[in-house]
Amino acid sequence: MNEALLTLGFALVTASILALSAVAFTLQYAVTNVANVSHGEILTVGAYAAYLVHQRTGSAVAAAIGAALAGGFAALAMHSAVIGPFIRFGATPTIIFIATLGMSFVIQNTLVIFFGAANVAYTLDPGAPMHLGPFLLTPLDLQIIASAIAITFVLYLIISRTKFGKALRAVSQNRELARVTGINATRVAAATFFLAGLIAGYAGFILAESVGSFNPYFGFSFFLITLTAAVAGGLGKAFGTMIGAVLVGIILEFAGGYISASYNLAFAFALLAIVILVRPRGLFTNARRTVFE
Amino acid sequence: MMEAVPSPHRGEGEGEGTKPATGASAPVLEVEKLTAGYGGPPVISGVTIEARRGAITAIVGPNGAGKSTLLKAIAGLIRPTEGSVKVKGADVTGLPAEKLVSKGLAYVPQVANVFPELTIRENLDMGGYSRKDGVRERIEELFKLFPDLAASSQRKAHTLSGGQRTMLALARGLMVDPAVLILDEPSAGLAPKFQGLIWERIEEIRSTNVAVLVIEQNTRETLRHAQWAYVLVLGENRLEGPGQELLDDEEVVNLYVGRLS
Repeated sequence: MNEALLTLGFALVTASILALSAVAFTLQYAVTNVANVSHGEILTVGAYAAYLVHQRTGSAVAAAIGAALAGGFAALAMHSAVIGPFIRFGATPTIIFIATLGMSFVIQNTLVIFFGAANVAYTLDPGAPMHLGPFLLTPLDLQIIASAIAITFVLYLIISRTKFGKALRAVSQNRELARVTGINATRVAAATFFLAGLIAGYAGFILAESVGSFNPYFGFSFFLITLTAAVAGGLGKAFGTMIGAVLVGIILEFAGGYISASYNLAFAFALLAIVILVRPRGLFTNARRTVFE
Repeated sequence: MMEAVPSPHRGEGEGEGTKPATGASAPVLEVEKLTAGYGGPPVISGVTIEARRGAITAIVGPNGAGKSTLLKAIAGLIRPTEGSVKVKGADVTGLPAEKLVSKGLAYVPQVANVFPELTIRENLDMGGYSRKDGVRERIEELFKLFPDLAASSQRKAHTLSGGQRTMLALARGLMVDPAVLILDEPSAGLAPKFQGLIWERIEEIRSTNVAVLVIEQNTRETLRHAQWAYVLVLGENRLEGPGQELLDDEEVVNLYVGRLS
C-alpha cells in the first residue's frame, strides 16, 4: 500500500474540518473586516455542547445539531455584545482585534470554571476502516468528509442565490454603500455570524470526534491553523479559503506523517509566515477582497 | 450683486421670486439649519436647502465648502448635531442611512458607488433590497432607461467602464422609486462624452418627477442644468438662485465657478 496515498486520505479528513472552520472564520471577516480571534472558542463551545447533548440523548445526530446551535448562538453573542458595538462606535480593526482576543480568554476561563481544565475524552465508534481506492478510511471519516462537502454546497447556494447571500456579499464589498442601498449592515453581519457559528460549532464537534478528546483551549490552537488556511486562501473569500484549507490540511498531514505530528503548530506557523511573505493577499487573490468571487 | 442668506432671493430679480422656476409644489426635501461634522469642529453649520420634485437642485462651492459632508448628513451616514431634515414632510433627522432609503431618499456616492463583485442585475437587486415587491419589474423599467445595462446584465460591475458604472450607480439609486435622488459628483472623472450622457440621464430622471440634488466639480455645466442652486462657502450658505442666473453673475463666476471650469 502506498503510504503517501494513505496519508492523503487522512489529510482529507483534516482538510474537511479545517475547511469548515476556515470558511466560518472568513465569513465573519468578510462582513466586519475584523479577524475574530475568539473564533476558536466557537469550536470549543460546539465540542462541549456536543458532548453534553450526546451524554443525555445518546444520539450523535442530536450532538451535531446541539454543537451547531451552540456555536451559532455563541457567534451571534460575540457579534452582538462585542464586535458589533465596537464597529458602531467606529473602533479601528486593531482595537476590535484586541477585544476579540480578550473575549477568547474570557470564554476559555469560563469553560474552565464550569468544566475544569482537564481533557474530556469524547470518542465515537469510528467503525471498521475500509479500503476505498487507495485510501483507508473509517465510516466516521467518510461521514466527516461527506458532511463538509454537503455544508459547503449548501453554503454556496445560500451565498450565491439568496437575497441574504447577496446582501452578505454587498456588505462585505462596501459596508457604507450597502447601508445607503437600504441594507441593514448590522443585521446582515449578525445573521452571518450566526451562520458562521453554526458551521464552526459543527466543526468543533467533528474535530473533537476525530481527535478523541478536548479541553477549554482546544479551539484556540485549532484557530491558529484555521488562520493559516484563511490567510492562504485569501481572507474574506469563501472559495479561496476552502482551497487554502485543503492545501494546508494536506501539507500539515504530510509534515506530521513524515516528520512528527507534535510539530503541527510549528508547521502551520511556518506556512503562515511563508504565505504572508510571498502572497500576503492569499494564494488565489487579485487585489479585491470579496466572498465567493 | 446677490444678497447673502438668510434672505434667499436675488435682490434685483423680477419674476424669479418663485422657487424654483419650474414648480409651485411644496419641497420634498427640506434641510433646515443643519450642522454636522466628523467629531471635531463642525464642517457645515446652519445650512438650509430645499429640493423640489421635477427639478434639479445644485450645491456648488469651492473645495472644502462642505458639500459632500452636507450630502452625507442628509443621507444619514453622519449624524447631524443640530438642525433638521424632512423628506416628504416627515422628520427623518438622525435616522440611519438604511432607514432613509424607505423614506424615499436615495444617495449615490461619488466613488465606490457600485458593488464591484456583484453583477449588474445583482447590484440592481440590492438597490431594491428595501422594496416589498416589484423588484423584477422595476429592473425592467430601468433597463429601458439604461439600455447599456440591459445588454450586459450578467457582467460584474468592476468590469464596466467609468461611464457605465455611473449609469449603474444611478439605476441602483432609482430602484426604490425615490422622491429625492442625491448625487455626489456624478460626472467626476468621466470623459466629456460620458459627462454629457450622464446629464442627459439626469434630465430624464428629473422629468419623471424626482427631486434631484446634485453636487459637482464642473460647476458651469451643473448650473446650466439646475433650476435652483445654492452656493456653499466654508460650510455655510452664501448665495442661492436659479442656476442660469448664478452662471450669468460675473461675481459668482469670478469667485466660485472660475473662468475655465
